[in-house]
Amino acid sequence: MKISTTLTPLTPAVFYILLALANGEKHGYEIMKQVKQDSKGQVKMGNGTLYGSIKRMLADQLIEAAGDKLDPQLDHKTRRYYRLTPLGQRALQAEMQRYQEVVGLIQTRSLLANLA
Amino acid sequence: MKNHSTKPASATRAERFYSFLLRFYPVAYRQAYAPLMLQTFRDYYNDVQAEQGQVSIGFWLAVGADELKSILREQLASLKEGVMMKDSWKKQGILFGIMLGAAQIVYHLINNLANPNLTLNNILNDSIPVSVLLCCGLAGYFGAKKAGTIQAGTYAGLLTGFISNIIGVSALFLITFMFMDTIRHNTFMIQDFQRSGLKSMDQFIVEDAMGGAAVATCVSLVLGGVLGMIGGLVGKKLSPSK
Repeated sequence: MKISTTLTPLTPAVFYILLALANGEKHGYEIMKQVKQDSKGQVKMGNGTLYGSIKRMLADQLIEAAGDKLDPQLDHKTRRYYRLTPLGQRALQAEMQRYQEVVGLIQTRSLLANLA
Repeated sequence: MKNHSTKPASATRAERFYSFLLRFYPVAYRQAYAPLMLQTFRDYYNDVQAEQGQVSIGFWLAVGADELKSILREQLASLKEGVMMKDSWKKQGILFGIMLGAAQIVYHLINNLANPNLTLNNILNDSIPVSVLLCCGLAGYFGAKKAGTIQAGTYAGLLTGFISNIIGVSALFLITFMFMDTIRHNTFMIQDFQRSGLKSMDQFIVEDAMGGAAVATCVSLVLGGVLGMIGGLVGKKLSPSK
């Protein structure tokens, strides 16, 4: 778990990309849509932010290219797919665990009720 | 999900404009990601157009703001990376230059001050070329591996040769003048002096040191460059930024 803890806390962009890839490989536009859906529209990841994050995540070995393939639902052009690496899976797991602990703390201290 | 097989003129114009924006990214980034970014933009644009009928100014403002932010970030990262790569050969050159210089100090100390011993002398004479080979080659290898260019390896090797030579030659003259009396009684030095035909032992010792310094300067620079380049060839092959 040592590696994962050095990578967390993750930036929102990195976290949502990892989350988007948690259920399998996706190409750039699929990731972008999944992020928007997962964050309920709160995180609108532009193309520049997406590929900048992908570049850094590839360098950090959190994700890897899964090859260029056709998307049967779109046109006949190939798109590059990305998937989580074992390190990426561990980082996502560590981050989710961190979130869970925070949520647990909020519930234990009834912080939401106090703030409301 | 829509099928985007037909392309209206507005989509072509949008793609052209987006391609123009991509030109502001650093070259390496553009080579790696521009086609992928253009494809993703195409998908995004087509979906927005299909859902909303037309693409609003808000779409372009969001795209422009995100690209501006990303271009600045990538240009800064590229600049930082460039500075780091520029410095990497210097670091390797200084590090291995000092190591090789230290080896030369040991060589000159033993060669001039230790009791004459033919076996030790032979080992010493063999150790210097091996040290040069290792230090210059490794400097070139690591320099090129970090920077991803053979040129960086060559520079690292050259710097190793240059720095080690300054240290080595300085040490040689310092030892020569500090321990002149001891060197005068060195058996090998006496034998060489007798063969030289010179009249003054001190003149012979100084000339011997000067000759050694001149040869060492030429050899260290040439070997430094060549070995650095060879090390650089290997290093570049294994470089992550290849």
